[in-house]
Amino acid sequence: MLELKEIYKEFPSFKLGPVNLKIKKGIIAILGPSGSGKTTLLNIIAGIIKQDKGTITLNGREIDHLPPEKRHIGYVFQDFALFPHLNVRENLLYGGREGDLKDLVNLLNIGHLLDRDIQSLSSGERQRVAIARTLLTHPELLMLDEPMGSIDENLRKKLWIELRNLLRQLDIPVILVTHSKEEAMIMADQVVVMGNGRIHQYGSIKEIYEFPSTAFVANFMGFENVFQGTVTDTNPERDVLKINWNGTELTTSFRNVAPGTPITFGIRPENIMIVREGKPVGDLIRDNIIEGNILRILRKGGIYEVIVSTSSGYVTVDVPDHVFHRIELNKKSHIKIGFKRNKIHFMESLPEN
Amino acid sequence: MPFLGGALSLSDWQAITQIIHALKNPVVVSALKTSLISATFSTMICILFGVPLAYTLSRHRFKGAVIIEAIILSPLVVPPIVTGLFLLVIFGPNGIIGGVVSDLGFRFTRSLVGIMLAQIAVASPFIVITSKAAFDEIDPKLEFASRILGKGPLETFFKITLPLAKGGIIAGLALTFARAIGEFGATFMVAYHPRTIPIQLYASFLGGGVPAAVPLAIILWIMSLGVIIFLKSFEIFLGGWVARTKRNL
Repeated sequence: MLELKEIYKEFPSFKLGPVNLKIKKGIIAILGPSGSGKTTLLNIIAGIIKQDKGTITLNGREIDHLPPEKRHIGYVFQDFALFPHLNVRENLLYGGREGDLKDLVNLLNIGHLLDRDIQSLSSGERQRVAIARTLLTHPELLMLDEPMGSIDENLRKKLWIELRNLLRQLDIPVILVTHSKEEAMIMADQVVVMGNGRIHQYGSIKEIYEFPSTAFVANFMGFENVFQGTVTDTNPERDVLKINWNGTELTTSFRNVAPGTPITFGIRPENIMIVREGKPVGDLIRDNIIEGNILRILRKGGIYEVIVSTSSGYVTVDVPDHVFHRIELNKKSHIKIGFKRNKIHFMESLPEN
Repeated sequence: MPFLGGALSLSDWQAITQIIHALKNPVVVSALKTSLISATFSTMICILFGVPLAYTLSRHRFKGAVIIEAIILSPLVVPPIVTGLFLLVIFGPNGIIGGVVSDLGFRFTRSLVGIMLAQIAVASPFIVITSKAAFDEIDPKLEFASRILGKGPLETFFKITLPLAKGGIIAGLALTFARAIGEFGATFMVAYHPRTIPIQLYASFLGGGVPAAVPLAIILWIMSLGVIIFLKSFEIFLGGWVARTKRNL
């Protein structure tokens, strides 16, 4: 198990931390945009960069004071860092023993490459050689930095499956750094979302998609309709919490938040309904009805994405095909939209780094 | 040179005979020996200290690095005679260090050690510049990869860094040797005796004019040409290797 406690690192133009993380087993993806501190975090775990503060424990052993060669960590770099002056076999045996070579070579199907020069390998072959070279040192933790970064796009999908199947066979925790949601989704059991040098959320990909814990995660995962507002009133008896969103009053279920508190919240586009004129409005959405003008309509798969400009801001609404045509939305310009109280999803606001 | 183009004329034959004659002259033989021994040892010392220094300058940013680099490189731009003068101030019989050792009965000036001091001061920038450039070219990630694969810093240096930088270091070695063997100005100031070939050339010129100096000049020229041919053939070999590596990586 890997445990990071209160890791901090400050550079002239970038600050990492605090990072607290516990990784037990399985494949964990560290997901985030470039510049979010993912690779810096790997470099700190590997001992290439020394953190300013904090401790790193691997299987009960404090490793943060150890040089990289004593940490028993496997690290596959983005460009694989194979030694260009050594052939494949020499690269593999650089940190490993001849006796372990056969099994691993078979597992990764690189037996035919052993006497080749590194320069003659394809990017996929290089990836397998780099992983084999690392595994031959029997690491207690395997880290891969953007493993598909140097792989041709049309090869990636095939390699994702191959790599995932391989990593699943390992008995050690695997950390995979990526900026691709798709890659994280296919490869990882758990996902850590990083942004601006901090961890925003740690959970399954489903949790992160459906319940992003911060506005950053929501934006990164493509969660539309993330807004800032202020709590104006709460009433536990009536189970009510009122939010002022740029002048529009919204109502949701009670939470213990003091009036005046600024909050970040989101409403998924598929949870917003079009209020049809002349039709009765359901009780549940009566509290949250907003008027606005249709700004743009985009066709996306089986749905229409309708962007509505309201007095408080833009709201994206997903309208299924059949509904769109039934209500003839394309002929309208001014509409009312509404959503249920429990569809307002609260997000944590992290202090800026 | 006259004897290199076309058929050999009588004067060319005379030049060759003069060189052969000069090579039999014990004074010239002694100068040749002094030059070869001093330049070889100077080059070795330059490598021993210059390569680790170049590596340090390439990999670490520290206060004063620029000043150290400037001092090391200054003999490239300062006239050798000035470098020689500074060496005298430090290592001369009344110098800061020279004074102390002369009390112990040892002297730097007018000795093989003095020649080497002059050669090292003037030639060391070449090994530092070329090795540093070679180290700068190596992706530090390769060194990190080696460390993570379980090798310590020293083993990493000898197994990864040095083999990858060897092209630049060998080129630096050749340039350092060429500069050391041709050194005149600083040597003239620090150690006129025992005579190296350039000093002997100067002495012969003073004593016998151009005809006395030319054979020695040709010997020096051939030696320098040898270094250039070595470098060129090495460059072709190395160039091919670099091109192959870059094309495939």
